[in-house]
Amino acid sequence: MKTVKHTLPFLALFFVLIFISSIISSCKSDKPEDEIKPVIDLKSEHGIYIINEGNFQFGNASISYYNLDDKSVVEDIYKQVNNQNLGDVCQSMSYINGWYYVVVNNSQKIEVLNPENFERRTSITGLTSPRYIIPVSSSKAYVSDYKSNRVSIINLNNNSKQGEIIIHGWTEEMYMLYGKVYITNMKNDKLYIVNAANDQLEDSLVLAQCPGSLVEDKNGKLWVLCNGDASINKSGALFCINPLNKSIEKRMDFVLDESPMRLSINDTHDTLYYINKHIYQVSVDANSLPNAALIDGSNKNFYGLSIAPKTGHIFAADAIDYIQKGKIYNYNSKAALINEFKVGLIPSKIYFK
Amino acid sequence: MQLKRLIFYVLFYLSLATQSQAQQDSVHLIDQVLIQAEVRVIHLHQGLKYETLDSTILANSLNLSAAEVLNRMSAVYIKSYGGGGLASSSFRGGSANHTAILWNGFNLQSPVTGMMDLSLIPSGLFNSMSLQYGGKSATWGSGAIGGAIHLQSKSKFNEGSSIKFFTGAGSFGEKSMLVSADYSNIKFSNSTKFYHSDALHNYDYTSLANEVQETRKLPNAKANQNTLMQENYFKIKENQLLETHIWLQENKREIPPTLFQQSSDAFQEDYAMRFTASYHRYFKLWNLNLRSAYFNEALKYRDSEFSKVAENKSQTYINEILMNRSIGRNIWILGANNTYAQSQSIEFSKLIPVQNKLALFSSFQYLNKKSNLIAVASVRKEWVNTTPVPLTWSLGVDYYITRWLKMKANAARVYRIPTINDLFWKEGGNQNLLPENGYAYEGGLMLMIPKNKKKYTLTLELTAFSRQIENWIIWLPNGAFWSPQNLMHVWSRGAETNTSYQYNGKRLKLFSNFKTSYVLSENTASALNSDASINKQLIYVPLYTGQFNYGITYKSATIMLNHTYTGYRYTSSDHSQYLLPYFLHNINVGYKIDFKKVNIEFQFQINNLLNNKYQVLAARPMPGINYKGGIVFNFKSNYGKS
Repeated sequence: MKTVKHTLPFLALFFVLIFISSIISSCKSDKPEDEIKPVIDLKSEHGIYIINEGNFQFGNASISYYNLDDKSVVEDIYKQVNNQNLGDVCQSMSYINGWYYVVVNNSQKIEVLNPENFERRTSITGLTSPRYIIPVSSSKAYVSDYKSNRVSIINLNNNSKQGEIIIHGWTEEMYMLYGKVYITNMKNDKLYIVNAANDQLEDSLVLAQCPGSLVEDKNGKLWVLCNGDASINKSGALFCINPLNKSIEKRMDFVLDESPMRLSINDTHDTLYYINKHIYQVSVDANSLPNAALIDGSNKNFYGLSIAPKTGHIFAADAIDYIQKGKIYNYNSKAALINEFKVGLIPSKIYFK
Repeated sequence: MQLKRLIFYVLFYLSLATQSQAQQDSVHLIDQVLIQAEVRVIHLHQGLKYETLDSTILANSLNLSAAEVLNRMSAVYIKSYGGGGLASSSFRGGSANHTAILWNGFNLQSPVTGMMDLSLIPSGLFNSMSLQYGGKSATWGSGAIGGAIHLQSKSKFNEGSSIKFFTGAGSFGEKSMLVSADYSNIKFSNSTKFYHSDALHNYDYTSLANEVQETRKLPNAKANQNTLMQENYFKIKENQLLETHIWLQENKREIPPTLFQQSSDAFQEDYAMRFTASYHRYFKLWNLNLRSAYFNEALKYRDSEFSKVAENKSQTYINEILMNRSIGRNIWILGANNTYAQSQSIEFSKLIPVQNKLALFSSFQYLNKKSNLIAVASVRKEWVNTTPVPLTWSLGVDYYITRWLKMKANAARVYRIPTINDLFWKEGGNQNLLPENGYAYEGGLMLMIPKNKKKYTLTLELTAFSRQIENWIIWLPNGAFWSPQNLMHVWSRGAETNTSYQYNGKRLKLFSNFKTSYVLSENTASALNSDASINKQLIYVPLYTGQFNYGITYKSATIMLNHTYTGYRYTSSDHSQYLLPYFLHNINVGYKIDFKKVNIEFQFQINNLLNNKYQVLAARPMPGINYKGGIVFNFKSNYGKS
């Protein structure tokens, strides 16, 4: 019993010491290091803007600026200029009447920004789930939507919503040609055609499942990439459409497991590019899809693609695991890697100044 | 007689470990152990950290969900969307899928999602809540990797009838009510509980959705819950017992916008019907327990007025046989479990995906002659739709160096099989997924100083753990869809401390409990180039958390304080984004008045005393200072007591 009396306080002290020391010594700091924010200078003639979607519901969308002259990156320029977060899931950016229109999908808004300094001019609200905005006249624009079953009509004079066109499904990228607006739909296999003069849905073309992106080539033909949907056993395809008679001139099919996306075209409008895990290049004169990839995408997660005007440089965005800062790879026109740099979370769109 | 003595020993040690007042009640408990449900719940904690939540605090938490209670009282990290929103648990850096939630020994983890929403569990429905830290797949099967939450009911015989009525109200339009009616005679025991709560959760927050920050009330956050629980125990003969449990629940809630959303009209409904039956037969040296459960659950979610309703339903059938036999001082447990689950949703690639798990398991508990060493070894063999899962095992030891110093150690193989969502989700489900599996180790010391017999106890507990999980399932983009892949390899390790002091005087009672936890949980594998997440802390796992609870009861009045600290949590895997730490303070007061046939208890809480602004999940605002109050009426009749 005597030993008990002696050891007891000793043991108690011993434990207390262990506890205290474990608390102190285990102190690996959990405070993250904040990055030093560079001064914003958007004056360079040669710059690109990268839209970073950010995580759904995290509110961490951002726009990065990359200066091609000195290869510096400025992150989250919107927040630095306007002192607030851009919002939740930034989808796209369009240059309309001398302003940038930035569509922030899950914040249900479009920010109108001054291209000189990225200062906010106003925002367009009253939208459900906006995706892309396209001007259809000097005073009117269309906004596609993920879930409202409507394309919104925006009055560009006062930047407010003035009407809508009912189109069922998930409307995505749009392109205007000869007074007609071609609207893709990710929920079915249709390309919708709307008359921009009277906002009437005139016609639709049946393509393949999930038409998502579209470009115009040097011959005035419209190329539409359908992503396909393996879950309902429908494969994707690349279409060449003659907008004059609405006929399909070419169709090139992907196999079921592939999920092509992000159709892009170069400055001279003669070569198409797209992501299909890897990056592929195809001439507008080709009649079949290329077998070999231009840029290998193994161990990468290509999520965005854009071709630089004049130089023909290929800029590809890697979203990595979607929950860390993504990367932009800058390849020259021969697909040799020139530079790479980090941007915000989930980089998806790249725009040239 | 020997069995009884053994049970007494085990319970005695257990009670020390869990700081319950078993000593006073031990005679009582021996009676109860024969009728208490699950042999595995009682016997198999050796080597692991096990804690039973303080009953005084539970009694003052009738209008709190299990998520809120665990948040305040345990080292388990609760990821909550705030208000009435989804809440899931993370034990020692694990995911929500790594917590087994066991209702009287039946696993409630959804076969579809692999988790359970702890905000839907009213804590007032259970007699006790205990936490078992560490991996125990060999006993509880798939999912028991990080730890387990035990929700327990307790039968009482020959106590007459009693009625408890609680009514409460709180900030943000909260109203709650609990009615509990118990009746028991010598042979039969019945308990019926009904719980209702509804709230607006329209607390103030600063919306960042518009150009100008504005403080406004959280819209679209209403929640409404109705729960009925009915439990019966019937002594067929002296050596036979039948128990049935029914748990019906409906839950409707709106899902508010994030900080960056202008509005939301998302809406979710959860329905659950849970039935269990258990038959016990006690022989001279062994016991037989046949158990069955049927769970029918449904979830409906609507994202906006334009979108379709997303819906899934699941039915789970559990059949189990358990035998335990005493061999001298030792106990041998042998059992088989078949869990059949099916689910229906148009989001699945198969019409009705089915997952059938068949498991054989056995445990042996050894008690040495001096009664100061208890060891338990367990093995489990499981087949999922006839595909075998590698043999799982665990080995745990409790060694009492002296009466007041215990050493514990545990080693276990752990696993989790993929959920129905992982396998059959139409857009991306991956039927080639392998089970997550790995090894978990822990060891610790526990010092218990009982002085002056029952007056006060001081307990100090230190636990260190390490766990490696391979094939950790992560949903990653794979072309147009996200698809689950066995890509991560996660090493979690850390240390936990628990210091508690209790004084039980005649009029004055004191308690204090201080817990800290330090968890490093890092992914060590990636298939991606330039992946900056390697060897970095997983997102939403705080390195540091701590809870400090203390209180005084003097005669009929109780005052309790709670402080919880949660450190930085990263929200991006490269740590470029994170949430700030927060320190929360809650106060709880109660006053009891005893009348002859009724006692009345007044309870009042102030939560988030300093009105801190904080986020548990990114862009999800949490409530500021808020108040809750309630009155409990306990009506008793001693009918039947002789």
